[in-house]
Amino acid sequence: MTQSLDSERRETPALQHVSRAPTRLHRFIRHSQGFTGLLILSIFLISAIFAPVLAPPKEACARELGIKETQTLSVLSLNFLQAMFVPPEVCFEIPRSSFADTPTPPLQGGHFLGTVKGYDILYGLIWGSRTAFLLGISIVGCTFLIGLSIGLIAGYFGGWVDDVLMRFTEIVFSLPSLVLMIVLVTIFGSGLINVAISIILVGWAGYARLIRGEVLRVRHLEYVESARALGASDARIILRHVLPNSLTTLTVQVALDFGSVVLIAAGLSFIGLGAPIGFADWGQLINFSQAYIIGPAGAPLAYWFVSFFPGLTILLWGLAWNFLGDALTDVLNPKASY
Amino acid sequence: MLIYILRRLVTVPIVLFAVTLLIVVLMQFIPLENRAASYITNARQLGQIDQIIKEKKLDQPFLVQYMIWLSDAVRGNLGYSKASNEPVLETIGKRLPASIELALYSAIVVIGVGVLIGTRAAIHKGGWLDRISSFLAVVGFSLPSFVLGVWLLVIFYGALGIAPAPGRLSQENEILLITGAVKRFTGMLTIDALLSGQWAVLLDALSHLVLPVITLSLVSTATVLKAMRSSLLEVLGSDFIRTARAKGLSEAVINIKHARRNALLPVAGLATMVVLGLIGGSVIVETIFAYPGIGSWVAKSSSTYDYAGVLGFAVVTAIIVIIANLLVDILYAVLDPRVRL
Repeated sequence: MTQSLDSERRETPALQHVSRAPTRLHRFIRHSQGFTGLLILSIFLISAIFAPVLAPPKEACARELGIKETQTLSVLSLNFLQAMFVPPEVCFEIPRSSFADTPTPPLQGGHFLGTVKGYDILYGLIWGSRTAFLLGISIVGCTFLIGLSIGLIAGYFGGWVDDVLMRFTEIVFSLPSLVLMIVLVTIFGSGLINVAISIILVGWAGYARLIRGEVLRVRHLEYVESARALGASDARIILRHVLPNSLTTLTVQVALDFGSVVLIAAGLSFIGLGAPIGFADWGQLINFSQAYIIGPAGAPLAYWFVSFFPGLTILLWGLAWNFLGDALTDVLNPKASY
Repeated sequence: MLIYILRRLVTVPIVLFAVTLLIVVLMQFIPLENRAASYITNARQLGQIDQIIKEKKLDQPFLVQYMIWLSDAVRGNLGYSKASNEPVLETIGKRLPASIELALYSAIVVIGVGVLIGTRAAIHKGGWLDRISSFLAVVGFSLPSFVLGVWLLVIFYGALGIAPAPGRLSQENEILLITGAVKRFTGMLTIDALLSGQWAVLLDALSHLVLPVITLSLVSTATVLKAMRSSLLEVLGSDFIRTARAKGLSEAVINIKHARRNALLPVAGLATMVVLGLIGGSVIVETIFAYPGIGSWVAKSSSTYDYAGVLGFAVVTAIIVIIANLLVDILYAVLDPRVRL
């Protein structure tokens, strides 16, 4: 009798194991917004990665890859790999089927989502998702790294670095960020790379301030003091004790910025400062659509697709990253209930 | 109080100095000839580029350039805008009132709707208004103005035909401006029309403002709304609210008199930043709606390499922002005595 009781008791830890609190990953997947965001983003990622399959190379792009337009790319051929990973820049140019003034409606003439000014909308959106990811990764990556290093130094060591940083951010923030970006792009000259540089130059200061604040918050906490008392080096304290504590705020900010930075770049493209004409870029497609707000007499909605599909794509991109940011806030910080 | 204002006033020239310095630093990246070209007023002067470089000392050390630029700017010479084909300051003078009008109505929407709905949403947390507004806020954050504006035009102007065509006035009313039936008092059409007693023009101008104001204010309204909601929720959870409840005060008095007043303080700072951010947003919105303010002009300037125009815009924006921040800080000090300490 006592033996069986003992064996029961021994099994209880296993039972506890089953009913333990869900992991962060579980919570994230169960978070309906987070799941939706992740789903939309994976669609974007797939269309960005498989752009050469979904919107096959045409014209100059096909020529540079050394393939015929009618030929379907066989997987694992050298051409295919080149198109997937290092496509020639000309592939980002939307093939122009005509110079017609009237847009072709969806599903006509082999244009699944129609054309605007002769440019294939679907091609622009799919290769545009590549542009979006490239912009997002490069801009957020750079702003994050620059902001992180300067913010850490300023927050941890204080002194003149801190003073210079704070004065500089005050000046930068005294102008609305979009105004400053427009000034920078005008000076550097239009183009996506210059747009990216401008956004980085304006954006890093925000991260630096955020990180500086986080460092100041945790610098004098008892466990950091005790780590210092134990003789930990500055680098170790920063990397092992200070940084991990600020990770929640930073992760959320990165997710939100990934969305907004691409929208800002698209906005600059919209006013004609970004991508060159014909480049696969969402903002430019909206720019094109401005000429087709109203259809021909009697059919005012005839050109709905010209603004609808690019607009929807941009909206979904923004929604997905916002959902992701909200979900991350909830999951990483369970105390925040609203 | 007076000492606080004086102390705050001292910072104005410092910030102004820093911002103008930044602008002249940025100018160094523009090729010399192009910078000189922003002073010429017609093509015949192209031969005098070298002369202008000498006159404006553009080839001299940076600080000399800055002094020359500053003395020019103080006297109102910010260069010549190729995009509008007239001196920069003249263009700004003509177009600024239109932009201020647009920003003013947008600010009213942003603060009014943001604070009122934000309050309701916090008081009835989880209710239908809270859910609708938080959904709209997410959409607002994700839908950039250039998409929203085009979509609104497609629906309300193109498909339904209830919104007027892009622009600031209908053609028949534009004539009244030229003939002087609508006198120019402020440059803001709705106010001028009201003062001139031209009701048709007033209505026309207002109807032209509806879509741009919605487009410009959506994101900012969402931001203020969200901030107001969380700020009020925080205050509602604090001890003095519990005390007020224990004293038997009615919910309305607690919410409006005790909670909202305290919740408004942190929101006010954010709202200022958001409203000033409208200047940036107006560049895109004015472009979509062919609205003749400084935003649509600077969009044209920037894509035509009209350096004088873009830099002049930056200077004016900086001055507006600095003055606005000053006013808000003083207002803060009046409202919240702790600030003065």
